[in-house]
Amino acid sequence: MDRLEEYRALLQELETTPARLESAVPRARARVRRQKLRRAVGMPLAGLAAACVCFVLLVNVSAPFAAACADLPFLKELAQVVSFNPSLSAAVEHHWVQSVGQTQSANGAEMTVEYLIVDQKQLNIFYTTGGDAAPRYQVDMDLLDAEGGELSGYFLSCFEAKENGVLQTASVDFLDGAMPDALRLVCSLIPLSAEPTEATVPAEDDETPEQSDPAAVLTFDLSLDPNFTQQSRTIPVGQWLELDGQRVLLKEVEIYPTHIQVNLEDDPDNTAWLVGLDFYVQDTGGQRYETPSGVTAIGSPNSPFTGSYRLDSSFFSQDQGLTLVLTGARWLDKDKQWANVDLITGETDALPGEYTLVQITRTQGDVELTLRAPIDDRGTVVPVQGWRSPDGQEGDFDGWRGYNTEEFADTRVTLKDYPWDSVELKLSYTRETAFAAPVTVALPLS
Amino acid sequence: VTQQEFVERVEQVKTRLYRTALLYLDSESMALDAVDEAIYKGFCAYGKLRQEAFFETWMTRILLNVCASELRRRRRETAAEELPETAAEEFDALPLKDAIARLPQELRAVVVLRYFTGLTLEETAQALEVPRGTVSTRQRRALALLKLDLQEQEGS
Repeated sequence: MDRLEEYRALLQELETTPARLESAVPRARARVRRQKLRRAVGMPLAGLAAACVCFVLLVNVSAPFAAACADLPFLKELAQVVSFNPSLSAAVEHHWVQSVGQTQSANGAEMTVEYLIVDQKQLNIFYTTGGDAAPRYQVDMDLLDAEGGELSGYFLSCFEAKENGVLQTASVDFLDGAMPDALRLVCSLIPLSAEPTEATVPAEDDETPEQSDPAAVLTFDLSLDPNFTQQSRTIPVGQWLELDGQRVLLKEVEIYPTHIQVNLEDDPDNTAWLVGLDFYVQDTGGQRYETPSGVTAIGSPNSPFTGSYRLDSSFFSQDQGLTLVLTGARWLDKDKQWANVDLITGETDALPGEYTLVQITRTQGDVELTLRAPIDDRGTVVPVQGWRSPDGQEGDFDGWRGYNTEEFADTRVTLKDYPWDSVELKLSYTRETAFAAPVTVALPLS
Repeated sequence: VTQQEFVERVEQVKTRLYRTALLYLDSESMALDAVDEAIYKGFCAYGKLRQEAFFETWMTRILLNVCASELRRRRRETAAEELPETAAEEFDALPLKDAIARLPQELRAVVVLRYFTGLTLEETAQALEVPRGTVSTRQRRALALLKLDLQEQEGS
């Protein structure tokens, strides 16, 4: 075969394309949507860390709780799993649990969806893994609608993989709309070695091990009981509040079994966007409902203003006299959204709060930036969320690494394949304030 | 360009993008990953594209940047695989696909875009952000190294 024949044969060969190419555009669209949602969802540093560490917590053995467990012994393990979450603990205590017991298996890997705790906005999935393919699995979940079509507007949080047979949990927050009546849950079970003991925990700087292929992809068709998904209370408020010289409208408070959601609206004349709120709800008996683990705030991809905030739920409480207590706020000044960084000299514009740039490390084309704050003054969120290069290209940081000592908290972010000598960092916020006196709002009885 | 227009246009060019990435990276899975990444980056930035006429060269440029990043990453992990331009006899001995994969990057880009993606001389110059004359020169050098005697119309 001469070169020309080779060329024509190669052209012919290239006419065949793999099937995966057909879904390239929907994949990219879904990734953009996930990215936007991730930006729109607020999770505290502690919440993110919680997703990465193993919880060893004791069950709260309050009298009613113990009674509930005694009546329904199968809930004991569930009670232990939700013990870190007051809303879910109250849900279990009030038997707000949909039993499923659906098992699927393939290639020696097995998974059972045991229970759901579900309401209009949040789905908590409790499951176990099993089978001989591995002692435990990382379970990557994807949600589809009941017919297997694409589902959007949800945010999925998973916890560290546990040994086979141990009850585990994942939660799905529906941000755009209400909970559907039915869902298809697709789970990829990726084999992992046994849970690391203290002696085998890798050092901080160790590379993340290569992820292996799934042992099995299992599908669960879940019907969601409308008795659970159709209950909530909304308290309309409609009161303007002045916080740090900015105005926000407290529109309403929604109370679901799994959380309270407070909805605010922005005043376009403000000089800063509200991007975080420290607050709680208190009932007449002094019981406080505070910021939950997991999703704590929901914003919009179109504006830095973050308009919805979550608290633990008062749904199961009989006490109807609720007061909203605001103690602090986090702001992004409209004229300081970007901070210039000279990557040669290390000079920067002002960074959020007490953060300073302490180190720039170039490694094989990548640039790692270390931002440091005194441990007592560190912010509650990652201080930067993206970058812009001198040619106008923008990107988000795929992730960050945190290192804390007794004195300071470091946040490290990496610019991949970055050839420039300067960068603009997109700030998550510019200042955090604690109010001199808490702002209180008595919520009308619903 | 609206989102709907972006989706329609990218559906039309994705096969060509895949071919380009496959010849660039010489791996089906990496080519698919590169196309995924390029479409994602395009999705994030289509609002900045003012002239729809430049859509294909714009997407091609994004894809080539993604491929170049992947090649840089790969080079860090393994020894450089490109043959020097002077090793003409080595190119001659290789099957065409392998010979293209081992061309110096700037020559490979021109061959791939001109003779496999179907871009014109002008579009290739736009996609690579080099003058038209540079594309012509690189094209001649690449074809000579590959011992590939193509008429102009086969590349247009």
